[in-house]
Amino acid sequence: MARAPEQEPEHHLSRQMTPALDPTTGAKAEPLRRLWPAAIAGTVMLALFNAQGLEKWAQRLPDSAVSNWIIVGSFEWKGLMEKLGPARLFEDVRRAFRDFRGA
Amino acid sequence: MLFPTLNFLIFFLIVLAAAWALVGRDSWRKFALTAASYVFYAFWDWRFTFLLLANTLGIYLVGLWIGRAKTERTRKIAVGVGVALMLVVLGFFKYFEFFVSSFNDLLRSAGLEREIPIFVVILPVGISFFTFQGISYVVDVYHRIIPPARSFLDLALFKSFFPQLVAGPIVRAADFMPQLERKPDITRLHISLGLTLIVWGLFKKSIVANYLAIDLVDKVFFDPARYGALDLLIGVYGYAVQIYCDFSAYSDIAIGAAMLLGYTFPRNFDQPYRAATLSEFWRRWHISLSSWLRDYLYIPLGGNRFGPVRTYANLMVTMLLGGLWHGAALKFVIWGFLHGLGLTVERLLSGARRASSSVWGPKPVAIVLVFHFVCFCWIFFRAKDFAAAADYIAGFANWSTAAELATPLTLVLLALGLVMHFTPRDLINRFETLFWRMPAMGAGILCGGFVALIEAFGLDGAAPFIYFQF
Repeated sequence: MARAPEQEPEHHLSRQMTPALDPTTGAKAEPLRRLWPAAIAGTVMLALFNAQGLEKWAQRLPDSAVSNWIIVGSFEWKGLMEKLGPARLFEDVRRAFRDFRGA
Repeated sequence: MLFPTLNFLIFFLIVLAAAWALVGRDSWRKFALTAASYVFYAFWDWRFTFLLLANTLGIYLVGLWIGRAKTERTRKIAVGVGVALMLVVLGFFKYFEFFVSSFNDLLRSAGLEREIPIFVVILPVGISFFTFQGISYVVDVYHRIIPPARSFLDLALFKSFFPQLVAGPIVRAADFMPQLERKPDITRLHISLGLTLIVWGLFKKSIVANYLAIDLVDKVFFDPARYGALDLLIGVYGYAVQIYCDFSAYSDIAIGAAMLLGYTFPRNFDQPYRAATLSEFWRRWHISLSSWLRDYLYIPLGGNRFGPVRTYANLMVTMLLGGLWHGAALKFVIWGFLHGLGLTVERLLSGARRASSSVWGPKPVAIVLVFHFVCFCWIFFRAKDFAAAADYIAGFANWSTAAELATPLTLVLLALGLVMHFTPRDLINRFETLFWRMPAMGAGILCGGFVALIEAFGLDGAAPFIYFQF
C-alpha cells in the first residue's frame, strides 16, 4: 500500500519544487537529422575561431605517436586560421575584453 | 573532466553519437551510457569507481530485500540497513577527520593526553550527491513510491549518469527510472532547449562566476582586514552572484546535456534572489537538495504536524544537517543554523498567515531584506573558517577606506547577475525559440559562435565548480 500523502499543504511541495523542466512533452519526435548538422556546425565554428584553444589542448596530450600527429595538425591549423582571419578575430575580441577588464 | 573544456566536448560528442546510434538496442544503449559515466568518474580518481559500484550494488540488494520482505518489520529493518550503510560510507569519507579532531580537542580540554590517530581521507568527488540519491531510492522503494529495480544496469545508470554525477541536481529514482523504461526520443524542442541551457550555463560559469571570483571575491575573502566596508559589501554581493552563477551553470549544463541524450532532469534553480521570504528562497535555491531535505528529513521528523515547538525544532535540525551536508566544518553548521533560525523566526512571525505572503513587509522591501540575510549567511559559507568570517563582519565598521575592487567589469557582472533574477521566468524559453525556428545548421553555427565568444572572453584554463568540493 502506498504511503499516505502528507496532510498539510507544505508537504505536497516536492513535486511542485521539482517541476519538470521539459516543455517538450508531447512534441513530435524527429529523426536525428536535426541534431547532427547542429553539432557538426557548432564544432566547426569552434575549430575555426578557437584554433589556439585547440593547439593548447593538443600540447597537453600525453606523448604518443597519435598525439604528436595531433599536435602538428593543430599547430598547422592554427597557422592557417591566423592567415585566413578567424584566429585573428578571436584574438582581437579577447584583447578588447581584457582592455575593458583592466580599465 | 570539467564541463567547460575541450576534453568534455570530445567525450560528450562521442557519447552522444554512441547513445543515438544505439537507440532501439536498449540494453546496449544503457550499458554504453553507464560505461561512459564510469569513464567520466574515473577521470577524477579511478579508485572511487569501485566505491560507486559497491554503493550501487548495496542499494540494489537492499531494494530487492525490501521488495521481497513479507512483514513490515523486515521492510523497516531493510530500509534502516540501507540508509545506515550509505550514511556510514558518507560519514567515513566526509566527516571522519572532523569528528576525530573534535573528539581529540574534547579529550585535550578534559586534560586527557590520549588521542585517536587521524589519517587523511580523500573525499570522493560527488559522494554527497550520490549518497543522497541512493537514500532516496531505498526510502522510495520502502514507501512503495517506486518498485525495486529489477535490472542492475538500470540502477547503475541512474546512480552514475554522468551529467549529474558529481554536482547534481540530485535526481530521484522516481523521476529518472521510468524514463529508462521507454524509448528515448528527441524533438526539435529537446535539441533547442538542451543547446540553450548548455550555452547559457557556459556563459554564467566562464564569464560571470569566474571573473567575479578572480577579480573580487577571492581577493576580499583572502584578506578581509585589508579592505574597507564598501569592498567587503561588494565582495559579499559578488559571492552571492558567483555561487549562483557557478552552481546554476553546472545544473543548466547537466540538464542540457541530459536532454540531448533524451532524458529530462528536474529544475534546480528558479531565480532565488527574487524570493520575498526565506522559505520561498529555499523553494528556489538548489531545489533538488531542499526538496530532498524536506521529504527525507523534515517530514520524517514530523514536519509541522506536532505543534509549533516541534516544527521549529524540526526546521533547525533540518537546516543544521543541511549545513553539515556541505562539509565537516563549524562554518557550515553556523550557515545552516542561521538559515534554520531565519526560517523559524519567519514562521513565528507569520502565525496563521500562509508562508507565501511575506512577513518582512511590502514585496520589494522583503526581497531586499531576504537577499541581505542570505548574503550575510554566505559570509560564513565562503570564509576560510569561523574566525575569518568574524573578521569579515568586523570589517563592516570601517567606512573610511575607499573601494578598490569596484572595477567596471565587476560592477557590470554584479548587475548582470542580479538583473537575471528579475527577468521574465521564461526568458530561457524565448532564446530556445530562437534556436527552434532556425534551420539546424544555423542553430549549430549560432551555438558554436556563442561558445567561441565565451571562450574569447573567458579566463585561460578551467576553474572547477564550487560544488565539486561537496
